[in-house]
Amino acid sequence: MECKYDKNRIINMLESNPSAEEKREIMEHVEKCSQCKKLYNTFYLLGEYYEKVDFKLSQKCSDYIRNSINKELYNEKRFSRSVVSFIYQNLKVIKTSAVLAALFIVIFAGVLNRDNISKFVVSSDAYKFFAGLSDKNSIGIPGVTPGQDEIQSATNEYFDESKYITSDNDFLSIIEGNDRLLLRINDIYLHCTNTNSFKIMESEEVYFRDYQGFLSDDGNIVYYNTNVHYDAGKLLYYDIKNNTYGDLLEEMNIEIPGYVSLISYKSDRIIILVGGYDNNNSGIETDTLIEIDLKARKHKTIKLPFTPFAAWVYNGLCYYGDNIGILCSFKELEGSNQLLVILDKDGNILEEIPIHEDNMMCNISSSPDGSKFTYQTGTTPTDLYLYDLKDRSKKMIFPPESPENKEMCIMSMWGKESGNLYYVTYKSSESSGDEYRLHVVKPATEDS
Amino acid sequence: MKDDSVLIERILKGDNEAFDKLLDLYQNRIYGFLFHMTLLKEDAEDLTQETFINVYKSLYKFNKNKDFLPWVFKIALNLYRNYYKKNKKKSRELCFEELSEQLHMSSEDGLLILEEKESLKEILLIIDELKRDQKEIFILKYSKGFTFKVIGEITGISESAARMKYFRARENLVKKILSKRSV
Repeated sequence: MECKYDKNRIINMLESNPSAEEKREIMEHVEKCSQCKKLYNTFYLLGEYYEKVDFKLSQKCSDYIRNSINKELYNEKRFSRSVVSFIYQNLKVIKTSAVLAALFIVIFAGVLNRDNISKFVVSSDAYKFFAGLSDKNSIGIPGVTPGQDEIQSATNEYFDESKYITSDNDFLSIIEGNDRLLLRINDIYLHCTNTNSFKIMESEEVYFRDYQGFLSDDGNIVYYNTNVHYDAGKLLYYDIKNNTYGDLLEEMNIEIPGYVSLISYKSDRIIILVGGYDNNNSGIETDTLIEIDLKARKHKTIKLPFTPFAAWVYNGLCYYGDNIGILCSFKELEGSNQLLVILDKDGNILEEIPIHEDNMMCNISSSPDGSKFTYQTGTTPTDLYLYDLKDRSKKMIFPPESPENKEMCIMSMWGKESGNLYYVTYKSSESSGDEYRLHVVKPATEDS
Repeated sequence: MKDDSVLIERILKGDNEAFDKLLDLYQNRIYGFLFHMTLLKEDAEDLTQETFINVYKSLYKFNKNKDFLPWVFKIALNLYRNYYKKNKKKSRELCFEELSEQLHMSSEDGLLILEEKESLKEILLIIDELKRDQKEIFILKYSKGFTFKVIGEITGISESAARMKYFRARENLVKKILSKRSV
C-alpha cells in the first residue's frame, strides 16, 4: 500500500536542521515504513556522495588549460583592455548617465526652443507619456486635473467611475450593456443588471458563505465555495429561479480526494483545485484539479505536473482564456516569491510568470479575454491591483486601507460582455452608517 | 571572495601565476559539477578545459562587484547546454562504466561500500533522466549548495522560478525512486 506520509518532510530534514523533536517524529515513521526508509536512505546516500566524494581534474587536463591560454593576452594592449574592463564593470552607471545626459540635452534644448520641442513631443510616442499635459487625449481620472500630476494620469490608461450603492438603484447606470454582477453587500448578495437589482441567497446559510462566488453566464445559478469544514467535499450552488440550494458534486456523483480549496468558473466550466489534509488534519495543497463540464455533465481529473511542499501555498485559481492559471506563493518568505503558472487544459505548463509583490497575493480574478487579472494582497486585503499579462505590468486600482483612507476594497469582478472591471468598496461612516460604492474601470477609449 | 578580486586584478595586469592559482581553486568544483551533469569523465574534462579557457579570455568583462564563482558556473553551464543539444541521444550505457570508474577513483579511502556504489549509480542515472532545466537546478542546489538567488543568476531565471523548479525536480525524483525501487 502506498504510504501517504509527506515525503518532503523526510528530504527537508536531510537538507536542513530541524528540531530534535521533529527529527525524532520523522525518524519514528521512517523506521517503520519501508517506502520512506528507502527514500531516506537514497537521499542520505546522495547527500553523503555530494558532500564527501572528491572530484579531481587530472593533472593532464589542468596542464592543457594552462598551456592553451594566450599568456600574452593581458600583457598586450593593456590600455585598451583596462578601458573595456572599466566599461563592462560600470555598464549600469554608464547607461544611466547616458540616459540622464540625453534627457538633460532634450530638456535643455526644449527650454531654449519651446516651439521645436513641442513639435517633437506631438510627433512621437512620447506624446502618450505626456498625455496629461494636453487637453486632447487627456485621460479622465476623477480628482486629477490635466497637468496636475502628469506621471499618474499618463500611466493610468483606464477610466474610473463610481456610484454609491443605494436603494434607488441609481448606481446601476454604471453597469454596461448586458453585464451581470453578483455583488456582496453585508451578508447578502445582490444580483444586478443595468436595469434591475434584487437580493438573493437570503437564508442563514449565506452568513458564512462569502469565500468565492460565481454567477453563471445566464444569470440563473450562483456557484459558491464556502471553504468551511462542514462543507468539505461539496461544491454548493444556489438556483436563483427556483430559490433552491444544492451540491453540484453530489448531484453529478463526483467524489474528490479532499475538499474544494479553490474554484473558478468560465462559460459552462468549473475548475476545482482539490485540497487535502496532513496527519494533523491541517489543510495542505495537492496536485489534483477537477474540471466539470456543466453542459455535458461530465468531469475530468487533471494532474498538476508538480506538487507543493509544506511552505508552498496556492493562493489563486483562474481561467485565462482557455488555459488555467494557478497562483503559487511561498509562505515562509516575504516578497517576490510568487508565481503564476499557466497550464493548458491537460495540465501541461505553458508559462511561469514570476510576480514581484511584497505581500502575499490573493483573490485573483481574470478578465474575460484572459489578458489581465486583479488581485488583492495581505491576510485581510483592502486593496486592489490589476496585472497585465501582456506587458507584465501592475497597476494599483485601489489603495490599501490607511489612517487617511478608511475605505477598503471588498470584492471585484469582470463584466463578461463589456470586459469592464467592477469592484466594490466599503466605508463605515458614523453619520451615515455603512457605505458601499460600486466602481467601474474601463479601458480608456478615444471618447473617454 | 576578496582573494578572487586580488587574483583577477593580477591576471588582468598580465600575471599568469595568478591564473594558475585561480585554476587550482576552482577547477575541481567545476569538473565535479560537469561530471554530475554529463556523467562522462572525458566529456566533463573537455567542458572543464573549455570553461577555464573561456574564463580567462572573458575575464576583463567580469564585474568585480559580483561573486566570481557563480560567473564561472554560468560559463560552464552555457557550455554544457551547447553540449547537451549536440549529445542528447548519446548512449547512456557508457555512463555505467564511467561512473563505476569515477566512483572507484573518488572513494579509494573506502568511503563507499560496493552496495552503496551500486545504489548511487542508480540514483545518479535517475537524476540524469530529469528534464535538463530541473537537473541543472537540482545539481546546483543539492551538490553545490548554492542559494536559489545564486542559482537563478547562474541559470538565468528568477529566484522563485529556481525554487519552484528545484522542488519540482525533487518531487519527480521521489516518484521515480519509489517506482524504480519499489518494495
